[in-house]
Amino acid sequence: MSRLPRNRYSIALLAAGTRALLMLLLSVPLGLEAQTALPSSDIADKSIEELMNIDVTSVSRKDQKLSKIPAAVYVITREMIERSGANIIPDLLRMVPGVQVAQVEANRWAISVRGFNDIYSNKVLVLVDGRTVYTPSFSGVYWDQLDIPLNTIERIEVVRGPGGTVWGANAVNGVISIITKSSQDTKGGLISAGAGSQQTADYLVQYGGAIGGAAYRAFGHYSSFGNLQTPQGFSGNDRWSMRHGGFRSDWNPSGKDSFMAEGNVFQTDGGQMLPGATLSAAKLTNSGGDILASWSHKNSDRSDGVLQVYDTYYSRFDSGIREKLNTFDLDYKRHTAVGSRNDIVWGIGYRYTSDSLRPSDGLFGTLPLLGVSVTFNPPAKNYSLFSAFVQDEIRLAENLSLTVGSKVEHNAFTGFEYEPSARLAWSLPNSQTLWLAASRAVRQPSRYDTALDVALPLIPVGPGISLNQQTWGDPNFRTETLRDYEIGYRISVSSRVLLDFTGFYSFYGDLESVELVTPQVNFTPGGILVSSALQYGNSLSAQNYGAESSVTWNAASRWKVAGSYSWLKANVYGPSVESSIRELSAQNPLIAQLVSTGAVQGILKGSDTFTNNLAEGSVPRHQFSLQSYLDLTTRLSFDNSLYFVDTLPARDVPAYARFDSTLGWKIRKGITASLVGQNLLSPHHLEFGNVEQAIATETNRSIFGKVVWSF
Amino acid sequence: MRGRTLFWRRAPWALTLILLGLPLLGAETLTEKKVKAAFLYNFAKFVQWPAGSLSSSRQPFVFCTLGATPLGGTLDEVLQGKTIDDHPLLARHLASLASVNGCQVLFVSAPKDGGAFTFPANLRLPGLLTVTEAESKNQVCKNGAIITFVLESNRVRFVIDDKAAQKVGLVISSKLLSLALPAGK
Repeated sequence: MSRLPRNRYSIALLAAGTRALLMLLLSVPLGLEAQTALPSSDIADKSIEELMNIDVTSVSRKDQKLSKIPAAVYVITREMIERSGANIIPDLLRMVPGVQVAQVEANRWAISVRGFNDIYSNKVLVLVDGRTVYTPSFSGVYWDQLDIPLNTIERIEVVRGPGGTVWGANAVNGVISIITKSSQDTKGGLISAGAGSQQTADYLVQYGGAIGGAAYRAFGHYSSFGNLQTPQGFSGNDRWSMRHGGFRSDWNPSGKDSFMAEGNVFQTDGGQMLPGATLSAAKLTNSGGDILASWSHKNSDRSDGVLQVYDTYYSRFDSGIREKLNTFDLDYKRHTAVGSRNDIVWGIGYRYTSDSLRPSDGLFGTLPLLGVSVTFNPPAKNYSLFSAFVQDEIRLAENLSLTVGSKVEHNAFTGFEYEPSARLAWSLPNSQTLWLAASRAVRQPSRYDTALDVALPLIPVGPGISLNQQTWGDPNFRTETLRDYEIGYRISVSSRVLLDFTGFYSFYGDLESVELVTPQVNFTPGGILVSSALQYGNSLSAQNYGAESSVTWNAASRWKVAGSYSWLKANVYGPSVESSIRELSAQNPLIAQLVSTGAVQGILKGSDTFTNNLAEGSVPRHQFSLQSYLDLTTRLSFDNSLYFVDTLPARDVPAYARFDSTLGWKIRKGITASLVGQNLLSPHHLEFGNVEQAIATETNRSIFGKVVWSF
Repeated sequence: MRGRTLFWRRAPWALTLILLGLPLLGAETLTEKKVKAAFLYNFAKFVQWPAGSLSSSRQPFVFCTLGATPLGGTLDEVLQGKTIDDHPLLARHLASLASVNGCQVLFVSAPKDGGAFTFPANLRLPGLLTVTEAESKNQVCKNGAIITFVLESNRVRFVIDDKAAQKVGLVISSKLLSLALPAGK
């Protein structure tokens, strides 16, 4: 008796056999009402009450509007958020095509769009209700600072591709926009309590009401996560907890004006394991808050404007550096329809940033790499950003529209920057849309690019030879640029299936690079001193291309299936540290000897951050996800997600598959319970691998249960 | 490579759980259009037209539709062989608003790009039950229709403007009013 051969055919047989069995089981009445096809004449005999109970699931009109947008948009709806089994935003983003989500530690993620993924990935803009949650210190996002209770999120819109024209610099590869529910929709009390094997606690208390015509909600949220383990099996010291309180208020005094205000305060407490000659445990903590207010005014059906102001502050202790950041932002956007063919949106904005980046060896930890000096020159900086944009959607014909526009910014590092784009949307019959886009986007220099100064202690590399190794930022660091060309096609088939395809070719220039400054050899009375430095620069360029697709299938009134697939090939060009060293070694035997020592090899491996291979090999070639949302009965729901992420060749991270399963139970009106199993296919797996700044730990199989009581 | 083998070994279990909904395939969900057509017929049963609206009992009771995405053939199928107060029922699709005379019920579908249709004053004719559809309750009170369909949790609901009905001489039964959604602000 032989085992089943493990190939595609046996899987198909297994699936078919199981399906037959299930059909048998589920045909036994379990309170399920089988809906059979009804000819129209039978409908006419139904009473009004019966008609009111019929489920008419189909592609919504909002989906139809979305289908005409000339950009690669993916919307994570409220329903998908509730049923995904995710408790944190990084896990929600895994289903989006073109987005790479890799957990590095329990409290750190490497998340990017269309490549260039890194713990400090710097080409994606993330917004919450229009507020930028992006840190100019490294042009990226600290995902452990972003705690938004998932039940307060209305939807998440992910746009892959440059969003520079409307959103400004740093929306190079994409924009992730998180929109919270209006407080008009969250009235009443809500208490949610959950605990699990990896997320050890998740408590939320929320209350919403109205004072006069103004609605409000206030909440307090506590969540905590346990340690994960490194591949070698020891603790990553990355246990952490988050305390967060916030409010939102919405007031629509008339049909013409509406006001919104929201605020948050948060604090996290946790740890990390820092790489170095010896691994050392260190603290990783955050505290901060923000406040935002906006006023929308509608002049007429054809013209409206929004004025928004916000201020955010945080203080973070990470890798031995105390970082403080304060941002003030004032923004005005206006939309006007002009004539019968033009729809113009324009805006102006001002942002003032004040930061401080200083090494700290206070009570919470000494600089782990003993004797390493990490400083920023200047340690504190105040800078302003002025921006203006205009965009016109021109209706060329009944079903053809051209959107052109540009953003102009003046930043404190590089002066004026321009981000123009042109997009064409063509509506074809039978619910099809074809769109084309060409855009330019930029990434401004960050404080790490321009101000970093790292000095390692003297390293003995041989008898009488020591190495003085430094890393320097570049005060004249230039803006990274992107010229991007995209094509997209969408079709809605039989009102139940939505298909979406996107292809892109991106040309990057002036990409961040690390180069070797020619080492100097000094013969001193004490011995030979070799001084070498790695210098940040803009010497890399890249040509990335790929395709993304997604499908949504409303298979039955109780069953919805969604899937996505992404393919990406990155090609990065330019000088690398390895090639410089090879050249130098060939020219100078002393250098060659130095390079072969263990100490120098260790440094070189650690400084690989911006080399071509790493940039190319840090993203998976293929990514695939499949979700099934099934209502077993009116009270019981069973939702499953399957993900496949291909290998990260430059990081020695093998391909992995992940399966999450959620069982939801409406116990009675106002009380729901859910049980989630995450990462059920393997006990643990690595998603990103070690980086210069952190020792990676493995994501593990976990279970989580939650009860939500609303009143 | 190890990861890819793992996927093909473990994934079948995951796939069967995902395909658990397969038995439900083939069970047809009724489309929005069919349900709305059935509603129109039912509305007519629960509304009283002013005396003299229809000259004789032979005269058909006419349901008119207008707009880019009309109810089409489904309305014909629903009305086939039915009567209201012994009047035969007829469905007519109008080319323009001008030919609205002779309609007892007028359904205007929502414009393709969203939003709602607003009934101009000259369409609020005596003895004409105006019906349209909107995306949300908020668009309802400004559109001048007597009944507006909205979708709530994938189910067809409706909002009734009783004052507008009274102005044109139509009396809506209290049963129908009780089943309607309360009008939004």
